[in-house]
Amino acid sequence: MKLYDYILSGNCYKIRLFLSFLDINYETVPVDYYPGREHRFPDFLEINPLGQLPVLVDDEVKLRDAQAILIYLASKYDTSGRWYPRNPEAMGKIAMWLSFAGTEIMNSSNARLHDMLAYDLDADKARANAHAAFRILDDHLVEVGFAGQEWIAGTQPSIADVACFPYVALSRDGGIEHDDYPAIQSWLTRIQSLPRFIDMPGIHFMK
Amino acid sequence: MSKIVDPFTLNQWYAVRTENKNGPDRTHRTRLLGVDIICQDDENGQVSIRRLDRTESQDSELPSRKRYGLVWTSLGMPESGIFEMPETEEEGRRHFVWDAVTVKTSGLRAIENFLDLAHFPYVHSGILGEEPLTEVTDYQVERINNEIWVKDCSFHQPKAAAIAEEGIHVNYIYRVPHPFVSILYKTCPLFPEKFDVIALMVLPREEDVCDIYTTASLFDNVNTDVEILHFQQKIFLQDRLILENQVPKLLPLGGRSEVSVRADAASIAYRRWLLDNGLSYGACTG
Amino acid sequence: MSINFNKYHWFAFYASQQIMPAEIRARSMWNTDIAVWREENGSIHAWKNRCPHRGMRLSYGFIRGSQLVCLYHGWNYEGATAQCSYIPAQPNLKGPKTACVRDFACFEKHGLVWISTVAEAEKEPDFSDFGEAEQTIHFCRSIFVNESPGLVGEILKTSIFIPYGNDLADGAKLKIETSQAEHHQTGANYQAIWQSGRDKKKKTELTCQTEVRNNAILVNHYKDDQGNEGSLIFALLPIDDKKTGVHVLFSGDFSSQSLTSAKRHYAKWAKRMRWSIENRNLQTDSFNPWI
Repeated sequence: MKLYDYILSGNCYKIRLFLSFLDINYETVPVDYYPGREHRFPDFLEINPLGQLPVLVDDEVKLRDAQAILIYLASKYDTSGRWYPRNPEAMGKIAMWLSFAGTEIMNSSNARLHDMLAYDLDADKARANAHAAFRILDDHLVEVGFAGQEWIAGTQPSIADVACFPYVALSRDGGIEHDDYPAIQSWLTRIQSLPRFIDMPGIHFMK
Repeated sequence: MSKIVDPFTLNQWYAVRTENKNGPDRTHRTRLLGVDIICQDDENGQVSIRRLDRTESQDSELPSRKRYGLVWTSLGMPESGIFEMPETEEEGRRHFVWDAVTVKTSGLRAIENFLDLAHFPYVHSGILGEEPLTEVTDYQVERINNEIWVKDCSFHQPKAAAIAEEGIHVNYIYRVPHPFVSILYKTCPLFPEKFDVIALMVLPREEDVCDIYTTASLFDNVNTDVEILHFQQKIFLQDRLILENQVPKLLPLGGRSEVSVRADAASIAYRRWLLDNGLSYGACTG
Repeated sequence: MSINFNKYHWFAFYASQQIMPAEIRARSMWNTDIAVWREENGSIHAWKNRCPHRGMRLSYGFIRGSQLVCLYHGWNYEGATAQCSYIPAQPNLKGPKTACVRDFACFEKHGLVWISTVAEAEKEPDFSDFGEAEQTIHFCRSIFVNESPGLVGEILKTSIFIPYGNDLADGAKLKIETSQAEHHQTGANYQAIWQSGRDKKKKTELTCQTEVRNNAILVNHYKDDQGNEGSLIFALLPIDDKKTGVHVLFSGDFSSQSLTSAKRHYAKWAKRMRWSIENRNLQTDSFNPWI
């Protein structure tokens, strides 16, 4: 299995983290996303015409989009079945939060790209939108928490948690603090306490 | 300019762009010491640089130099040329220039962090240091020709460079030739008698925001350019998390608001050197 | 008119349940960055969120036993004294006396961590009228409103809420009898009428009495004409000029199942309260359903 990877990308980390949770060996192909913009040149565009990371290649299967890769990995390799339970309610809920991770939460990534790598993006708007998304997630975690549910889409951690985690945790790189979201903070800590958790620059973890 | 810039800061050369990076119409805009500037390439690759806060063309023209893969300028009257790094000319080295990463803190905090060994086991755990090998043994600090030299540093590092396969004892020498530049010579895992050279060239955009360019001249016959890039960026972005969470953002030079111990000798010497040279930009009292 | 906040009072800083043993959290109070953390044995501490060594925010650090360890250089600070006890770079050096973190008085009560940033704080907030038993006051949630503490407090003084047992989302309308509302510095008395959206004939009359205690705590005793009675408590946390934390608590005896429903009910109310305050300029109808 081969992961086209960039060390500072939260979406690539999403896959590295999940592969670690599943205890799967893989090789990485490091891509010069910044400053080289290698993902915008023909060699990489052949791998993913959208010019985005990550891309996973597993034998004959080639997938782009972090959320799609999570579904594939969980479906194929998670023998416990807990990361992506095969029942309609769980699948529907997980799809809903995967989509949230790929859209609303990505505002946090935009603020980070602006603040860290000088991308020409509207950072104030991205921060406001990220705060709005974090409120929704915090409210959700508060409400499900009343009945003892500690994870986004059920009583077990799922790929919805993995998908939402990186750009929530990394948001401070883009000037978005977590102070107003205590339920999110507790949830971040729970994810960091899972067996085989790994970190990345910006998501520091020591015990 | 929002604040009067002290002469020591003003009269330095600053890296404002990599040589090969360019924006639309071969222009590149950035900021230096609170002033908007623009770099413009002509057909022959000559770069002209202007400051945008002055209307008269003769007043807005800034000097332009190319060195170490970077484009340099100054808002003041530098007394000398850009500092020399003769070690980088040694044969067999691979040269890297990594484009800027923005950090929302004073550039002085970034240089001070670069001079620090004690944070390795915590901030770069498993790479540049690891508990319980946390002790910083005594090292020497000297001032030579109004530069700071930090010598005889050594530290155990689990993975000292991309090419390192096992933990090694690494020797470090630091040199600070400029308030916003630091050069590091560290034991090369491939040839233990040689040093890899890594330099941090900081562009202070504002007192509390900087762009950090990194250059390296390494011996590595195994890793690809991109693998080495990932290794460096991982370490560098671990530092960024620290730098953006230090309070205050400006570097205190008064010696009262931050407690130091012997392991901080390089930091203390750097702060004192800044103070002795009358630097105030990016610094605070306290 | 707005509530005067006074630094000599205790403020509800964090919910106890959100700081587990060996965890650290931080937020601002009056623009001061404060870290609150628990030793592994559960003891709680509130400290200035800054390492005296190189200014690193301590909330990025981690806890080992009774020590808070700064992420930057691993300096250890002893919980009981806030004094540096160990410097990994110089293992044989005793932590210098000056390497001491500013600590703030704090204690836990009713599911909240209360702190004071002044040494001579006034007496602890009084909840004696809720009985001795801790379990009669239930923590619902903490919620943050992007508005000034003074304004949030003033609005909450006469806020109307629908007691647990009624449906918030059935198009209900609430009307405050403003002519009869009495405002004073320490509270307000008012009547409210709640009209169900589904069944227009269904009306509930509420009598509310809000009391401001220790400045930042609002206790709203309500009684309706169905015989329901209880209290909703808002403990306000002034973050800065533009943001206010509101810890929502309520009193009463509940079975565990109905307690969960009651928490959901008041959490929904809290979200609407936040929306109403932040969007108050959008509201043209004087028949304002939530505030």
